[in-house]
Amino acid sequence: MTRKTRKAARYVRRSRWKTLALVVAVVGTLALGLAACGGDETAEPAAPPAEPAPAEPAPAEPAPAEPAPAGEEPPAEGADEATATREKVQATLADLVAQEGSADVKSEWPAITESSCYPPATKPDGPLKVGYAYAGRANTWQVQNGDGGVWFLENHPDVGEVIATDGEENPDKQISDIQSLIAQDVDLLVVNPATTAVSPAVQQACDAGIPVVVYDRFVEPDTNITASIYADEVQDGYNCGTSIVEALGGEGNVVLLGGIPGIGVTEDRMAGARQAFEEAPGINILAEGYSDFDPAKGRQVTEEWLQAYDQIDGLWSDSGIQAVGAIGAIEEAGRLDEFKMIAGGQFNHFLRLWSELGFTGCGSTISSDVGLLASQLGIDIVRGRYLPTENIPGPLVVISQDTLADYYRPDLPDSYWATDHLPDSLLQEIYANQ
Amino acid sequence: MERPASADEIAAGSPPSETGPALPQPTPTTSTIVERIGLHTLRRALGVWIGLVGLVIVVAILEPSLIEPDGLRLLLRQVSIIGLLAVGQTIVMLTAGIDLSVGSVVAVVNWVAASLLVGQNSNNIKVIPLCLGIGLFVGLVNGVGIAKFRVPPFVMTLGMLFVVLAAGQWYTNGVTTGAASEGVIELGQGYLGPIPNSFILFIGVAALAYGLLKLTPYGRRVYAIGANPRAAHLAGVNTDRVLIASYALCGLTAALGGLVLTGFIGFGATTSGQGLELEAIAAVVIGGTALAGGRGSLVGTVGGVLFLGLLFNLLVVTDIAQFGRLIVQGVAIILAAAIYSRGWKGG
Repeated sequence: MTRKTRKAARYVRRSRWKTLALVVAVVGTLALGLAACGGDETAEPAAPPAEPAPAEPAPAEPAPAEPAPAGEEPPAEGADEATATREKVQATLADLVAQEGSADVKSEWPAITESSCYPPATKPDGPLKVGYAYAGRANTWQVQNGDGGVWFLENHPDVGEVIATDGEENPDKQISDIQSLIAQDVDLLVVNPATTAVSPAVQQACDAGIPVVVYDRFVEPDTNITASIYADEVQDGYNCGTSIVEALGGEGNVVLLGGIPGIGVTEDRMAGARQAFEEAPGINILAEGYSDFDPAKGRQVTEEWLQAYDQIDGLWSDSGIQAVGAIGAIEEAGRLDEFKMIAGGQFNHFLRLWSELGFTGCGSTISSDVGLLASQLGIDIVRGRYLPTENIPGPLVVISQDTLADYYRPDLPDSYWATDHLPDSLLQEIYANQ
Repeated sequence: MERPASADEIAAGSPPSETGPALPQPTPTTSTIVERIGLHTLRRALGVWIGLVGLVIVVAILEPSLIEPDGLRLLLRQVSIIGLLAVGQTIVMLTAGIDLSVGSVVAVVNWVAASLLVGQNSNNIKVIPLCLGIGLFVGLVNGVGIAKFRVPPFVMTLGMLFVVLAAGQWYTNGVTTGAASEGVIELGQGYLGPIPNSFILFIGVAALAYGLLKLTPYGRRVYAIGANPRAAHLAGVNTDRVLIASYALCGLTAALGGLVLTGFIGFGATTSGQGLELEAIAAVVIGGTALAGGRGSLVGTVGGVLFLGLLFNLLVVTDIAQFGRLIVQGVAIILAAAIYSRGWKGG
């Protein structure tokens, strides 16, 4: 199968309004055995396929010679959009680089020490061949992050070829993805590991002298890498914690609704929130609970809290997903006015409820465009422009009452995650058909 | 010990078979009537209901608001999703099987329902049957794999857990959208008088399944296969057909659970359904159904579902740290299993 037909297959998968010719081409492709990959939108959901979708088909030229997938946009506009996005990403990255090493070093972060990929070989000129190994497409945060990074690299002037791989949340799959990228001799590997089990493959890439930028999820701490972008999740939890303390005037009862018990992200964020509340002597933590990031469980736990406690002034949760369930319970109990602040994340559904129901909110999360920042960081490193000596802090964005309107997108589905850097045409493409 | 099924009971209602001896039907006596509608098995289920009464007393002392009318309404609504899953799971576990794929069915039904209902009641008539069809289809695949291809139930349904979830992710491509219709929301959140609609559905389905298990030849065969599959086979029971039907029913109740969950939260969420299969299995075990099959009843399962739901709610509003809560829940399950297998000889 040629590179061109694979590319066509990918575009069709992403948007419904393709030309008949492309659809026919895809049907032919499906017949050739890529049924699961094709994602034919008309397929009957009642007859699920027997296998998960295979890897993101990959090689793609940087600036597509053919018209951009969003047919209604002239190419010039797309180029402008790419330039504008890149400038924003570079500005954000500069801010983050300035804070390099500011976060308390966490034991799970890989230390950056001298190795085969640090300091890395630089390539000052010529188009780069970049491997982009994202973790999977299990939720829209991951989809935005994965597709966003691919789009960013494909439209980057320094990049000649992007080989993107979908780890399918499966370390075995991602290990072979990365080994294949090593074999294809990429100039840079940007990786969001599905789990720490991917570490040996990351180490192999480093041993092969390929600069490796790891972001969002962890590799084993003794893995050699070139650079990392990890968010200070304690700070993330602390941010909306202090907002709640302010909104309550330093006094009142709060509840903490976390995601998955025992995992680093949730526990760190809860530790940050707890710290904010403990700094304010008038704040009383009534209860802490967990939701597994499941709105149904978030709702159930909140229903019981409302049943057991007569006065709750603030709800802190570490993601907007379970906050949506919690708000359903609060609204049904008719006690929305009682809450001086409800904190969630950047989940569009949460932002919609915040906007429509008119409570006072706070939204804090690591931005879902961190893949773009990691890609730009990697390119800067390979070009010899910059070499970090410590972890670069991930982009923590706090949405307040004042900035809600900038982040809430009524035109996008509830499952969208507010972001600073993803271009509109890409978002429309990801959320097409919805 | 449960009374072992006799050959004539196993074969009752089944066509005369060449291998099974034609035995005379016993004349009905009081004791056989009691046995026929399954009252004798209720002694086994009594354990969990005694435990539930004990738990209610503890809750009344520690946190009485949870069992005030408002608290009870919430409890009954919350347990309905797990309850529906547990009904199907009970049937499957009575055949000495297990179904680990029900959580994935809930997730996929949630995603498909929300994306196709898009908040419109007019879509109910198409989407609800489609969702039930998904559950039925997954159950049939499970049943065929287990009965015809002799894949162990644990392995078959564990595989389907991943296959179904991946199929759902392929369908959504990671982007869940849409919203439940008013009708489905009414099912998941609404009340008929003081009773949640979803609880009425759960109890109705449980009652139907109880009747199916206790009053029909199919039900007797389910127990027979669980107690001794070889004996059941020799007695002329078409074990394959019974197994396939049981897994299909389990898939169907899981799909109902998925619809109720969709109404309860009102939209499709990527995290829906995860781990629900284990909660349902825990409720069935606490309700006294043996993992080895052949023993147990839906009366126990309903008690187990209420027990776990109330225990969870009590723990949520107590000062115990999360790991402590999980330990308490785990110990409750182990204790129940230990009591059933050693101390509690009822039934």
